[in-house]
Amino acid sequence: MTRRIFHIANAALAIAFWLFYGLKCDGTMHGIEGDSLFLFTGQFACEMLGRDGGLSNWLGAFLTQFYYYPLLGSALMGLLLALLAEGVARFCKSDLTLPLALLPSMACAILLLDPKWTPALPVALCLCVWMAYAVSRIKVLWIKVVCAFAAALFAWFKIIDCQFYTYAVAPVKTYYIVFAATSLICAVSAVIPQKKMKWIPSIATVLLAAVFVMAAPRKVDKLQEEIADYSYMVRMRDWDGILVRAKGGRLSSPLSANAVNLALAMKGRLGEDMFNYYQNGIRSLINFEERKISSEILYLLGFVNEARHLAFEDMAGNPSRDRGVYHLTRLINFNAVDSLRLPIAQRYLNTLHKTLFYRHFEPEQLVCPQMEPSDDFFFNFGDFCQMLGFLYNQRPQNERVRDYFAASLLLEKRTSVFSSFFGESDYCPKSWKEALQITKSLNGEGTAPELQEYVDKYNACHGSAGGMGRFSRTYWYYFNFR
Amino acid sequence: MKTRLSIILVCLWVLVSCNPEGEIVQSASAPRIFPDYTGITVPVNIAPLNFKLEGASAIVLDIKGEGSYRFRSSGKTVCFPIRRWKAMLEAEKGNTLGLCIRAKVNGQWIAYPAFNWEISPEKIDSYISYRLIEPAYEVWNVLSINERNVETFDERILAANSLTGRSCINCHTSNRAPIPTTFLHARSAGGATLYQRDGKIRKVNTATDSTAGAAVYGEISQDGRWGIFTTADIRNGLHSAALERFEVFDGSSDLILVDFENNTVSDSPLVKGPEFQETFPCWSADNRTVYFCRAEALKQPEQTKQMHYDIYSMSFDPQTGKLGGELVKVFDAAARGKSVSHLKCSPDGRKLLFCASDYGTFPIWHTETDLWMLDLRTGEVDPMEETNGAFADSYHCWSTNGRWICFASKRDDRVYGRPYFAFVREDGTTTKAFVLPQRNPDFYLTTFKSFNIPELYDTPEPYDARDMRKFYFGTETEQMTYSK
Repeated sequence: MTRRIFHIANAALAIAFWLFYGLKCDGTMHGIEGDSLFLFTGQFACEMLGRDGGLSNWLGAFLTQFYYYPLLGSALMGLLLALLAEGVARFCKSDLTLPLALLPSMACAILLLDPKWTPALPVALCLCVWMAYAVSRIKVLWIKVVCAFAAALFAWFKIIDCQFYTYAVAPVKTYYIVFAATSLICAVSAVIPQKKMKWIPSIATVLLAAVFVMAAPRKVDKLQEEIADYSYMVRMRDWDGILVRAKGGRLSSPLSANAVNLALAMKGRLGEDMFNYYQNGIRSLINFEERKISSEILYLLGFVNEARHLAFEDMAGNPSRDRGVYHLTRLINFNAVDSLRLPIAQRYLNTLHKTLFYRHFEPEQLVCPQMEPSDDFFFNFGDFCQMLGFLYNQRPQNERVRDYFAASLLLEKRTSVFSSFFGESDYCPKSWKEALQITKSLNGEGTAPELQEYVDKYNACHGSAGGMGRFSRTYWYYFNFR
Repeated sequence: MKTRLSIILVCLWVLVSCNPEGEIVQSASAPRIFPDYTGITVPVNIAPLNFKLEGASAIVLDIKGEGSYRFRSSGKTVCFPIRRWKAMLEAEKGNTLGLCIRAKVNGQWIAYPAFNWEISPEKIDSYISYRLIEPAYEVWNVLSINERNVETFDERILAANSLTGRSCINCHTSNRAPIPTTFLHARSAGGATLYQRDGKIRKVNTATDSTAGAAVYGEISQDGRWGIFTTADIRNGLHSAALERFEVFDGSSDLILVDFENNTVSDSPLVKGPEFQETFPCWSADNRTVYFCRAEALKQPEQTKQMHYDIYSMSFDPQTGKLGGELVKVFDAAARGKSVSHLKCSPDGRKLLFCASDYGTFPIWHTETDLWMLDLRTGEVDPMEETNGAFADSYHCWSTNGRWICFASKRDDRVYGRPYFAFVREDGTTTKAFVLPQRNPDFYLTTFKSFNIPELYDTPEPYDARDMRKFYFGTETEQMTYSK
């Protein structure tokens, strides 16, 4: 009875994890998958397995590739966690210790909700637990001792010392606490003599599972999930999806604003709609500290060299992360702009074609050489607005650069410069119109009726941002309140 | 009995004379093998030149010299058994080999036009070191300096930044003496120049209060005592034009002379000061002259594209340890619209090999960079058209006997450098270059590492990465002092 309840609770937890992780953390899962790489080649396996903790890393990378389909990936992870709990339960002679068998998989599940933890953690735990169980089943003592010794050595070099965390400073203490706690549970469970109990362990198991299901979702970082969502949609060029997610205008981070502004530019609506969304300076257009999305923005604008620079350094420069499929797809796209750069794109394609889900990947054609700078200049990351100006001057037909350049001037409130560039333009979307009206008004060339209406409202509210109603989605509002 | 024997012999003859390849179509175009090993001169001691022919499902390679050799492959790759390869090269030393490839492509046997290999009896140095690094721009992650035996495929790591606190390690250079003295730089908080002489490694800090910084590019004299180096304020910029990539330039640069016996750094007013920039020094063969690049200092990066470095020389007295005499302009690169870098003097002292770019001082990202050879006796320059590739050829060095050069070339894809060799003929001209052979010819198409600063030498380094780690962390850095 108690065992049956344990199995049901274990299965329920695995299903809960599957659904929650797969449906609520899909953006994060896509991010993790993009940062990882698993190649179906002997060389890759040898390289991975040859390193410390290689078996856990290799199996972890194998599982991570299935995050490409979040529900499939989370199902596999749920299965792994259930397998871990089942392995620990094998050590429990007494029903009393049975609920404790759920704790290691619960700890892993909670840690996995933080994307910095890799699947190598549950893989390593699971391998160790099942290996220990297999050794414990050996009947002949000397064989058991030899196998235990060999298993311990193998576990230490090829399983435990794995890459369980993807950032430079890994929480080693937490990792070893989880390992030590799991070992302790197995040891205690094996020592406590067999005892049949009916209600206490069953209730404890159900309670534990319930508490976990209630508490675990609180571990999810919503901001991180929002950023991961936007990043994934940028990666998949899902511009409509970005605008649907951003409906309502409230954006929690500059990175989300970067994605929304890029989507607007790609749809040709940046000048028209950008102030329907939260904007705050030029960081709303690009944030160079975030290399991934910045490289996408630069590429789609025509700054291919700079995009490649950021993408490459994001790939090659992170000491705690191997290259991922997303890095490779970006470098392929960034190098496939013209035939002269194709050989280098081909190098990355050779690798990507050895993966499971990208074996048919082909470079996209969103940027043509005519969008790139025609004359060379040194790119200054400290003055993006000026760089946009240089490119716009060289490639006035590049509409994305035109819109970004205009937007950067508006966000920096350089209305007179804006007027000098776009005052005579035939194309004049809403935000441009509003900016030109401000310039005219500031120059004493008269105030347009709509602007006058805004000024009256502003005066009526005594400069309070909260009372501006429909005007809160105008450039005038941004000009006054940001 | 005789009849039976005759029948067997006839059967055998029929079997042997049967063409298992069936009908063969003659191709008009040369086989597109990778790496391109057609029409090259190779040293007698080179490792097997394994190659692949894309699309082939079987290959028969017939080689004809003094003897005949046949190699078969049941795939697209030809991998020579190393013993047969060595025996063949030894037997054919000094000969020209004709290679004829027949390959089965899409079920059809094709015979390609033959091509030649010249087997030079002049040996190349047995070892090559290179830095393996992802061709990033400003940051790096994992990099190592490896030593490869060019006669086999054996490779070992001399230094790895994973064992030296992620520091940037670079510029492994040998003086190619019979007992070589070598150095490499490790850049980080505890970084220094790691100097190896007679098997003993020292960690020295060449930066002093009176010089601009630590030693950068340079060479060690044949006796191992003196080092001539650049000291520079190195900066960089990112190009925007489509096919440009990255620019490295010096805010300022001077030359320094390092005395590794007395731990002193000195300089000369001839190569110090803000009016001119001096860089990439090298010793003459007798170590009594220093060649270097020099340009008028212009505002950087605004005038980087106007920076043109010429070749100058000045004398050096190894007895007194003084740089001096007068500056002599050896080659006016600016007059040809070029800028030179990476000077390397031949072991016989008659030639100077250097990089010629359109402007600036850091040629590896300049796709137009070629190697040029200057005859120091006549002043004539050879643009080495037979040897240079489509994109940047740089980071060259000479073999100890002066008959081979090695360099990093990005000719295949613009970005990833690979070590190439070329033969220097008696008349000083150079042959078509070929890439360092790998066990798996696909290696160069799949690796994410770029080879830079290839360096030839004949005696293996007496240390490996683990020794280097011990020295790096366990040895006190010797501080050099400035000597006027």
